[in-house]
Amino acid sequence: MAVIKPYFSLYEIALLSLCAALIVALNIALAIPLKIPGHTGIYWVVPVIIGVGIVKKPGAGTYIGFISGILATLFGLNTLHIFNLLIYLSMGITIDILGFVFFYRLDHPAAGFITGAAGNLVKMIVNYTLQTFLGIPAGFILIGIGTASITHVIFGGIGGILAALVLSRLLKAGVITRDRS
Amino acid sequence: MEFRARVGLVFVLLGCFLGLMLVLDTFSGEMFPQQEVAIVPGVLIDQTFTKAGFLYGPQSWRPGYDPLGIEPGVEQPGNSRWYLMFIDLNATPVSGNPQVKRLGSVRVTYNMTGLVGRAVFHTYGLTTGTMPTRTNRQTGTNHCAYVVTGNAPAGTSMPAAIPLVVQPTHQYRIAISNNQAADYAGMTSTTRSFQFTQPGAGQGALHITSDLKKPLGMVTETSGLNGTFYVTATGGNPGNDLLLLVAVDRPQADDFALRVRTEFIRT
Repeated sequence: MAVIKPYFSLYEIALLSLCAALIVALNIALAIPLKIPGHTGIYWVVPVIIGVGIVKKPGAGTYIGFISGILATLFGLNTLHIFNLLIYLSMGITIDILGFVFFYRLDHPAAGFITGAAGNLVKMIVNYTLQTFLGIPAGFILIGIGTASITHVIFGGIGGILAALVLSRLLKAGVITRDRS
Repeated sequence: MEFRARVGLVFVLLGCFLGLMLVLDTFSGEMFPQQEVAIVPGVLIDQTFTKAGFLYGPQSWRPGYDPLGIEPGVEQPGNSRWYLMFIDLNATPVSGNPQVKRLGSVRVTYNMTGLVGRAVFHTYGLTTGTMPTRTNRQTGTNHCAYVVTGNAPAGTSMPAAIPLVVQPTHQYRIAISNNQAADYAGMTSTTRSFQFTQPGAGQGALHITSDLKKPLGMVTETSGLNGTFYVTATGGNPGNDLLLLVAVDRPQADDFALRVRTEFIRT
């Protein structure tokens, strides 16, 4: 009888789940009083990029987004409740796609910046769409979506660079390898 | 395509998207012009009150979780002696996301005769369940009220007024001075309920402004006995009916009259 090999190994599933949990934990633990739209992107894109950068498989970011979305809903992180899932999922899918486009070389600061910025930007767009349809007043509606886009790109980009630096250090230390084994 | 080329391409695409957002932001006002302020036809109340409408006082405070001052910007009630009248405006402002619904405010037009001293207007929004009663902010940022000063001959007494008692439960049953406003579900036609759940609760949910371009409100001082101001809301829930508090700082003469009209304004 043929044994069906799972797409993600047990190690990968555990790693991706921990990354997802880390996003929610960071969101709860870190309350930066910046009051600038998208500032949380500086830390919440980091676990996603690290997870995708280590596992290097299509679907890794989507998995992290799905799990963190469920956790965010259960912990009631904001007023969107179950719609949190769409926000986290969209960010995960975006980072997934860009990881694939960049050959999973997310340890490169430029790739990290773009991936983090795009992930945070897509999160903003989905958030904006949901807030608009659900009628919830949001900060970026007041300051304008153009300005909010710039702040999301900047903070997401900084988070992406941080993730790239962490991945780079892990590569140099030999904890992970550039080619998928 | 090489790694560097891909990074460059995606970077350019990201820049183009940002540019598009900025263009949208710049021209959104022209593409989606804001609807103009418009009065919804129909007067919600049009009633004249006399000095017999001042049912409460003399007292130095107005209802809140802790008693609030009446003079705008004064937190702690002092020894001043105010007489209070509550009027049901039979209206409520509409707040929320301007992207998905048209917001609105309540325009209050007043005409006074025989006013002596100062008349201060505050507002309350009635709520249900455990939600605290809404009111305009008394002190600090965006505190607001409308103050009218008159110099008619002074009166000697306010026979209908009795002091309101501070309630340790922070709940008040308030008699209103009009009886033609629509009845509110579950209440009699002459009383309304206030409830305050914690210090500061409900404050700042409503605003009083004389300029709709400043919806967060202001303190307006005027000697005009005929005028207009607006009750606006910028938060999540302005309540489901508005009360207007009119407080005067000395007994009024027998010829005192206050005519109040309310209309709904789409903003």
